[in-house]
Amino acid sequence: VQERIIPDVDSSDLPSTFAAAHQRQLIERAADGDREAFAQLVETRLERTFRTAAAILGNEADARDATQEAFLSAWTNLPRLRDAASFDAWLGRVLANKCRDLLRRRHRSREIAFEDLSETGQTDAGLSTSALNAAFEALSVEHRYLIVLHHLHHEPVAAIAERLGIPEGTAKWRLYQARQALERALEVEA
Amino acid sequence: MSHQFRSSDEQLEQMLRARAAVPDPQLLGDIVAMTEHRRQRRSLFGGLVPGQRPVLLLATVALLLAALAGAIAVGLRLILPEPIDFGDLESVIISRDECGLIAIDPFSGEQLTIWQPEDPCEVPRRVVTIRSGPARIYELGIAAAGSHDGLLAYSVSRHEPGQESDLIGLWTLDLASGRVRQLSECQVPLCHYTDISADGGRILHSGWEGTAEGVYRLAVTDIDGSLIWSGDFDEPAYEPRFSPDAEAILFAGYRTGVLYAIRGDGEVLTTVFEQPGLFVRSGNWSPDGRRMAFAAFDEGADEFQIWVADADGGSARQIARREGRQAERHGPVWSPDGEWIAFARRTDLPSGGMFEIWVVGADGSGAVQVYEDCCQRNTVGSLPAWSPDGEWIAFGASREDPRFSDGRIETPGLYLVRRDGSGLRRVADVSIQPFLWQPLPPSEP
Repeated sequence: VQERIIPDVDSSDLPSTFAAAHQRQLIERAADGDREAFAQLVETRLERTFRTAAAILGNEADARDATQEAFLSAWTNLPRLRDAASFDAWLGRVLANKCRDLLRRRHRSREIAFEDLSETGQTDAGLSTSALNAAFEALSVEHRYLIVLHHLHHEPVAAIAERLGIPEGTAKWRLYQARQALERALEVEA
Repeated sequence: MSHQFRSSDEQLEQMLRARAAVPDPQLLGDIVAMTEHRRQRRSLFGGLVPGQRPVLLLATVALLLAALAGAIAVGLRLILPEPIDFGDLESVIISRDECGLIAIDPFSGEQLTIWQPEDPCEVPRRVVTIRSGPARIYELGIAAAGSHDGLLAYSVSRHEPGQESDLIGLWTLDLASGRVRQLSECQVPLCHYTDISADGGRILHSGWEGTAEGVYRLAVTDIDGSLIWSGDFDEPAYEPRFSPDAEAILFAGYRTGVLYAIRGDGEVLTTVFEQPGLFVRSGNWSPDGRRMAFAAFDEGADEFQIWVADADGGSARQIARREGRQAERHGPVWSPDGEWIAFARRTDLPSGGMFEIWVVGADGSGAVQVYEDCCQRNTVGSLPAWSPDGEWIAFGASREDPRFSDGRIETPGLYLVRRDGSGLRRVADVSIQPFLWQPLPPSEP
C-alpha cells in the first residue's frame, strides 16, 4: 500500500472544506487498498446505512445483510469509482440495489418483522401503523429509498437531487410520485 | 390522481423511525466484524483486494467481463420488426418516458412507444430495465431536414448495480422504416450530449474524457460510428450543435461563458462571441445557417438576455432581456422559417419560482409572452419546440397545484400554444423531457 502523509483525524472536527478533502483522501486511499482508510469510511457511515436498509426492508436480519453486502461491494468496486466526491451517492445506490436483491430473493415484500409495530397500533390521526407499514412494503425499492431519504433522514429535495444526479424538479416530482404510490397502496390496504 | 395524502409527514416519519430504530451498538460491531471477515475471505480466495491484481485474476476477470459484455450486447439488441404505423399523422412530438422513446400525436395526445430495450420495462419504475440494471435514455438528437428526414439519434446510459452510470452507446431510429441501428459506440467515455446533422450523415458526441475533472471531448463520426475528428477542451462544451450544413459546430464554454465555433473538421476553433460579464449559454443556428441566436446572463445586471448574431459572430445584438438569471437551459429556438425565436425562462425570484415562454421576432420586434407560471415555489418546464409549420409551440410544464399550500406540484404535461399566445392547451400527461416536434416523411405508396 502506498504510503501517504495524511493524518487519521476525526473529520467531524474539521471545517467543511477540509472535511471534504479528508473524506476524498480516505476514499482514494481505500480505493488503493488501504483497509484502515476503508474502515474509517465504514465507521462514519455504518449507522445511517443500516438504518436506511432497515427502513427499506423492515427487517433487522435483512438490513444487516444488505449493509454488509453494500460495504463489501463498495470495497470491491471502489477502484472503479471515477469521482470520489460521488462516493456517498454511489454507496446509496449500491445499498438500494442490495435491498432490491434481498427482497427479490426472499419474497418478503409484505413481511413486518419489528415486534414494536403492533398490528392494532394507531398513529396520531388514527391511521393504522400496520396499514402504513404494509402500504410502504408494497412500494418499489426506489420509492422506499426516496421516502427514507426525505422523511427519515430529512434530506432536502436539493440534496436528493444531487445524490441521484438529477435536476431538482425531477427529484421533487419523483418524491411526489413515491408519496402518491404510498397513498394508493394505503387505499388498497384500507 | 390523488391530491390529498391520507398519511401525514409525521405519521410517515414515525413509522420509518420504528422500522429503522437505532441499532444496538453490539449489532453494528457485529456487522463490522462480519464485513471484515468476509472481506478477508474474498482476499484469500480471490485476491479481490483493490490494488492487488494477480495476473490469473485479471485474466479471469477479463473473461468474465467479455462474457458480460456479450450478454449486455445481446440484451440490448433492439428489435423493431415492422415500420412504425403513424396513420395519417403529418408530424409527431418525440419524447421519452420511463420505458423508452415515445411519439405523441400533437393534437390528440395519443402516445405510441416507438423504441424500447428488448427487456420489457417494469412499469411503474421510472427507468428502463436492461438485464442487470436499469437504464435511461440520456439525450436526444434529431435530423431536422434533408434527405434523411426523420432520423433520430439518441444515446442510452445504464446504471449498473454498484457502479456509476455508463453510456451504453448511440443509436439511430429511422421513423420512415422503423429501422434501428446501434452505432459502434460513443467516442467519448462519459457522453453527455449527441446531435445529428441535418442530412443524417454525421453524429456529434461530446462528454467528459475520463473523470468529470478531466478534459472534455468533442468527436464527430459518420453515421456508422467511424471517427472523423475529435478534439479536447479544458472546459465542458455546453450544448454543441451542428450547423445546418454540418460544416461547423456551435457551443458555449460552460465555465468561461464564451461562445465558440469549430470548423474544418475540427481544425479551426474560433471565438464567436465574448463579452466581459456575460455568460453565454445555449447557442443555436438559424435554419439557413446564416445567423445564430444565443442566451446569455449578465451577472452584474442580473439579467437573462437573448442575442442574435451573424454566423461569424458579427453584428451581435441583444433582442430580449428579462430580470434574473436563467436557471436551466431553455433555448433560444428558431422557428422553421427563421423569422421567430422562442425561448423559455425558469428562474427563482424573491417572489417565487417563475417559468415563462416568450416568442420574439428575430429582429427583436413583436415579443409576446405565450405562457406564464409566476410566483410559485415549484415551477418546472422544458425547452420549447416549434411545429413544422411554425404555428405552434410545444413545451412541458408543471406548476404548483393551487389547491394545496404545501408546494405540491400538479402532474407534468405537454402543452401547446400558438405563436401569438392563443390556443393554450394541455395535450397529454407526460414527464418533462426534451421534446422534438418532428415532421413525418411521406408514407410509402
